[in-house]
Amino acid sequence: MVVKKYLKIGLILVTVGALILIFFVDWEARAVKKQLRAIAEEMTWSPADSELTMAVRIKHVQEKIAQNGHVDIPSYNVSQAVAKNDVPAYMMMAKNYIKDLSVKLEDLKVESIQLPYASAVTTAYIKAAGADGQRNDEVLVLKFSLQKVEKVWQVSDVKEIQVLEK
Amino acid sequence: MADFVKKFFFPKISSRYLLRVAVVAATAFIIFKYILIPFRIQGESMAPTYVTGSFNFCFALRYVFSKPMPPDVVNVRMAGKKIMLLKRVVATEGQRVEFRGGDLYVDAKKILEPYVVNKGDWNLLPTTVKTGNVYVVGDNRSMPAEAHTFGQTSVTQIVGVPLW
Repeated sequence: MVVKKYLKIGLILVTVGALILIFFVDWEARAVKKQLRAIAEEMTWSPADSELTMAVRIKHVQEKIAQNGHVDIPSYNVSQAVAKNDVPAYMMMAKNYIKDLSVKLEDLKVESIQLPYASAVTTAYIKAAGADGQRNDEVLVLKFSLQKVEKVWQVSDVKEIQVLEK
Repeated sequence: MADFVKKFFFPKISSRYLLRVAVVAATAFIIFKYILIPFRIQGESMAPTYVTGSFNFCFALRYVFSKPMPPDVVNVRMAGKKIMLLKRVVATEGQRVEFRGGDLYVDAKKILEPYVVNKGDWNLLPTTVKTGNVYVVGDNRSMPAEAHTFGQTSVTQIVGVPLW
């Protein structure tokens, strides 16, 4: 009788937990955040990384970028269209120019999701050391636009939001 | 004495004790999340007033009944509060800000800035601060203006002020 009582309580708790997971957790927002954090992780490298490691990073980043997109980051004097096929070239250029790179996304917030589109805002803390050893750390507010293609969220637009306007 | 020490470090786990722990934890969470936000300074833009590596708290209730005014030092949030900019307010809405030869002019009047130790040769055309904005700059003007993050921002972006 006692065991039955505890089983019933356990079953009720599991059911409540499952209902909370189904109705109160935004799985699409979690997927968007996971994708953006994965890109930030792949955009982190050091001089010790081998060419194979770099090739794998490029492949992973390319998978997460839409066919056609746009990057607008005035702090880096970048404002141009970027195609999925351009990603390897740009990343290799960046690797030659920046020997040490670390990208961390803080305060990542999904602003809106209207399938198949989503937008997210985050503070990107970028620590970079150039080929000459000079450090160039930046903190930027970036707005990402994503679209869901075949169940995978891909980044189509990256835009810097100016916090301080000169 | 030994008994006191034993009771202090190994208290009896009673419901009153657990309630005390819960209240202390909740209060600490509210205070350090919303009122006194701890932060560590990274960067030289506010040197020598605030140096890199130093620790402080952002008092988030400072502007509940007032507005940021010069020469307040304020924390400006970015996408959130995890990373904030630490800058000094030099002008408020409607005022005209200009830099000439490194000197700050607000509404065509030269402003004395004793907190600025090394002045660079900054030249910036006059800019009018928009309604609802304030103009913020760092104290370290020894770097070129292009390398320094400064400008006008909405008052709503200001989280609070450093506690010291």
